Amino acid sequence: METATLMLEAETHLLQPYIYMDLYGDVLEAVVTRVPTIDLIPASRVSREWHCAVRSSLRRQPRRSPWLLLRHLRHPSSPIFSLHAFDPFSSSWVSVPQNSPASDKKSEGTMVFLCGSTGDRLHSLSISSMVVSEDPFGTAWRKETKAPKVWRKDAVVAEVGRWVIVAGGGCPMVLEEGEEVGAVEVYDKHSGVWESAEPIPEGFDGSTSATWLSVAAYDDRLYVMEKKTGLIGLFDPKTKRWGSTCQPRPDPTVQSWAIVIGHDDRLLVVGVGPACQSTTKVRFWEVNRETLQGTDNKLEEEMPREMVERLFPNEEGDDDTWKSYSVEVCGTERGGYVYNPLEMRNGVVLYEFAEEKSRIVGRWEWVPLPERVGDCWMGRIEFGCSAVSFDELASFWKH
Amino acid sequence: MADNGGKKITLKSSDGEEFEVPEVVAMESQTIRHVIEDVCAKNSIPLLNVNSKILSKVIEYCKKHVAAAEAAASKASTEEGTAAAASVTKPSDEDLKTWDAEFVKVDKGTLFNLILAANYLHIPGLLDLTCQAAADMIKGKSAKEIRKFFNLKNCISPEEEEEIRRENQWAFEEEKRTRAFDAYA
Repeated sequence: METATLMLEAETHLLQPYIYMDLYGDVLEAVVTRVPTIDLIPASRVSREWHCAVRSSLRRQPRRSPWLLLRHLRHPSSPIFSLHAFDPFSSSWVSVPQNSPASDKKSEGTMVFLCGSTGDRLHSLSISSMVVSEDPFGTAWRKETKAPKVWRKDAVVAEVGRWVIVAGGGCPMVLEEGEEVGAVEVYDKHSGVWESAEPIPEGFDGSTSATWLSVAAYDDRLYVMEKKTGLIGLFDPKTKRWGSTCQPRPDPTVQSWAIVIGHDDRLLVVGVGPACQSTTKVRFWEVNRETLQGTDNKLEEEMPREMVERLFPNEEGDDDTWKSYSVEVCGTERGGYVYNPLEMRNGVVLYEFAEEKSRIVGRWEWVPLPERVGDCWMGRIEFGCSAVSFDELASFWKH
Repeated sequence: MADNGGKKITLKSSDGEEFEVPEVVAMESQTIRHVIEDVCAKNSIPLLNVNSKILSKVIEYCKKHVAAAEAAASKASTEEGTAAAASVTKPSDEDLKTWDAEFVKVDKGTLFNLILAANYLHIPGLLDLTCQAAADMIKGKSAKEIRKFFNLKNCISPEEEEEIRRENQWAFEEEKRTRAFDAYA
């Protein structure tokens, strides 16, 4: 029997040279460095050699830019959604299989992103509970059976270090005695207790909901910016108080503002508006984290024209005086994504911060949406942004 | 390509075949460039790690890229203004990319050998192209499929595989993780 097997092997050897593509060392690492991030997971499990090559490649060329997360609700009547993630390293989309609480009806309400200091996370707030995802992909969930005291719709929700902050969105019709539309509550993840905080400052009156406010979350503080007026406020979850507000407005032509974390602990504001000669411009400015005023170095960065035109397309015969501008940004200290909330299906602009101090952005890239999302005109899209770790990726990649 | 009696070099493959090429083409390989420049000028360079089939492909790559660079340089110097030059070089960039894409459409054995040759001969462009082609072949495959594709001996036990799986616990961003932990302190 054995002789027969040996002979068979010998024959096949003659027919077909058995090639060992035994890549190793520098060469294996050179190949692995070019492999899309999601494929690094199976690659790292091939053998010990490959595992070391993946590890070495990531040490030498770390893939630190944050991913863009897209939550797509195909039908407004159903809470079931699909999640897609964009890898900035290989410029490709990945579909994330969903096992969210929404599909088992454990949560009520739509899943949307909250702005987090460690990355944006899916969450939903209902009258009885708050459900928050613990990772960017919705594979692990934390359900808190307590909800904030004030009933809210369209509140600003943010995760700042060990706190979850819920601000604004109070419905005037259902407010109780002593409650305000701009009420703020802070949840401590350690103690599991909701506490009331100083409500949103007066300057934001009339805009105390997520539709009108852009937020940036650090580990110890939350910045809130009014999209039309450009007013910025700073909230400290430890003291539960607001600092003074400020309206830097580096440029009067800007019609819509957003705020985002910058590189190296900087704070950035992004503005869109018709600059001179009615060309639309999208610009980044640095703002002082403490005083909320423009910085001395007056650093400014402009988005490339062709990308601005794709984000804010000009229809033929458009009357500029009626044009409505809106911009939103989500990002981390490495980079992020800029999009137009009024035309989300167009696409998104990726930015990566520059290493040198004299510039803000080092790289811009246009990101089109996955086809089945872009084509579905009835669907509702939400964007989030988060750094992604290897084990977070591995947790949903079953290969 | 300018073939006006420029110096020629002979490259000898591991199986004894000789290839005569212009020096400028051979110098696409940094290994060969060092041999020519640092060691005294040789007329015939033996390449013990590259067989004739692969060497002829490598030479084909180098010839094409030298020619493309020369064409781009001469067009840029004759055209008035950078805008015109840029619009002229663009189509040839595309042509070169197309040519490169066709060049790596080979069986995996040849691709593998091309990678090794590009590494040994130190030809950055070719190494980049061939490694990218190999990386593209890894896309969408499971660990088992990758092993099968590369004909790697399955020399790891299920226990070892499980250990590797558990070892995959590092983050892309270690600083980010430490910062998050600081907030809990």
